[in-house]
Amino acid sequence: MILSPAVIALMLGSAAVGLLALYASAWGVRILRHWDLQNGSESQLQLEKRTYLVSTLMAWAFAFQAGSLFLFIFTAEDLHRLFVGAMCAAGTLNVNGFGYPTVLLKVGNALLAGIWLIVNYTDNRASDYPLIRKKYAFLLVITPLLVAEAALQGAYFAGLKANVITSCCGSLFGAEAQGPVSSLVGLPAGPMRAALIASLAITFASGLLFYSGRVRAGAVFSASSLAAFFISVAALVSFISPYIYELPTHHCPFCILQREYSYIGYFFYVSLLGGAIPGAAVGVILPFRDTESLKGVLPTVLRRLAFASLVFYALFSLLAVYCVFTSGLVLEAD
Amino acid sequence: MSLIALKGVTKIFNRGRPDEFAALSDVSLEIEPRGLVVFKGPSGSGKTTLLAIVGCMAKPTAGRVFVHDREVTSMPDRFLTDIRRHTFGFIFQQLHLVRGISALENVILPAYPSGEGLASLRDRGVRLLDLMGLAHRAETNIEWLSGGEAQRVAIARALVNEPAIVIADEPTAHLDTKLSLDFMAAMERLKAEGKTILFASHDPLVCESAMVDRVLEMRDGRIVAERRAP
Repeated sequence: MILSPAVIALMLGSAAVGLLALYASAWGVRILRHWDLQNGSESQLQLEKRTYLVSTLMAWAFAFQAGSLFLFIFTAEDLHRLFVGAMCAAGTLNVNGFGYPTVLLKVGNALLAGIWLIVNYTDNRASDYPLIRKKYAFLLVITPLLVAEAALQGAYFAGLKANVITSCCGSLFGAEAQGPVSSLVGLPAGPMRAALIASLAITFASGLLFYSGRVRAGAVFSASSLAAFFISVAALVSFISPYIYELPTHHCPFCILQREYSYIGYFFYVSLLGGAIPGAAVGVILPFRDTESLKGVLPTVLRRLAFASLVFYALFSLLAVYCVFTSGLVLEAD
Repeated sequence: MSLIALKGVTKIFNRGRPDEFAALSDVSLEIEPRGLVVFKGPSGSGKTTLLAIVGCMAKPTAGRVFVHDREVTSMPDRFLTDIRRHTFGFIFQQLHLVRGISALENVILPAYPSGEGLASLRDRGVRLLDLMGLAHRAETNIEWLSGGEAQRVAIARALVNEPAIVIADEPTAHLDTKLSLDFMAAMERLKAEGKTILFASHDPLVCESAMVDRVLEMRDGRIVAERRAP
């Protein structure tokens, strides 16, 4: 195990988030079983007081959770110098079998945590806790994933041995690469480009319609913004990254986080998460637009979410276009 | 229709500790608008706790409170702040005026968070001080006012957000007879304007006053007797 400050912070942070989620889930079960606003009993009033504390704690825990994804990637990137064969985070994550599952779970948990924060924010806008049962049911779904992430991350850091010879990203994300993550490399550039443009076009069109008041476009916008996230990540590996590296055979999704490439990877990933989380949240809270106590606040919240998602996806699109058009690389398909 | 309704309200302090104390036990009550209601009882009978719960300054251990038919006990604090600010005006036993600033500034202080313009606030503050016969003392610092003047500044401050309900806890406890009568006269004017006034007091001068519509006698956290004006 390598005890760098960032590793200690990540392990303590994940353990704290996992424990808080378990504590909140215990209250969540009570809320799901016993919550009744018509009841003035002592236990109900206790639940009402406790949910305020619990949701505040979880809001901070989930804010850390979303940020910890980037700290984890940064740490993996920073530690690559310690491992023979590693050229970037890709090699560090490959030191043992827990690295890639951890990063994938962290991405999933960051998405879910972000959506939960938005549901919690929306619930807090009304005085009668309209989403409280949904919020805690959602939390019960996320908690096992958070605990699994803490366990996987712990196993990954515990298994980091400096004498391990790992693979560099050239072999992990090269033409001969195998495995679910590496298979993104083999996706053909032409169809991926078409899929990316189509998904972003649908997202922008439906998002603008929704923002201008067409409520029916909300479901399409939400689904397309989530699909655009996955398609964009695949496109980043498949055909955008070679333009950044100016090397047709290099598809590493982590080298773009390095100083040589102006840390542009962080901008790509932040903009993608910033686009996906509010976009997906629109679909989650849209069904509650007719709830009496949310009628006054939900339209504004939904419009702001759509706006935020569109701004982040616009940033991603501009970055991608900039990278492709300023690159010295010309692919055959061009 | 009741303005305020309490259903089975219980308040227990230091729950589960050796010094556990039940300040209110299963109190149910309805208060109609535009009246003067006095909660009468000895020290420790639960009057102040009851007013604090009605005024959304404390939450009960059990039971529900409705204000304007809106259930308030389950509301998070950020919503209660708004209700407290716009529905209730408080006059405390210790007046809690801020020393070092003028009478007018004390009066308009609770209205600052509303975001209303300062000029309009000052106009309203001066009007309220004028109503209390204190317009000429508006710019005087609070520490230079007499006890009676300070009391009237506190009343003006309670009215600055134009509340429907005025709550006063032992308002005459530190006043002599003349000042107490002046205070009651001021309350009579508010009542005539349609305000609902709730007092906690065991002062006979208050409880026996002709302007009181209802006296609720409290003991050991319960309402044990009620008297209505004929």
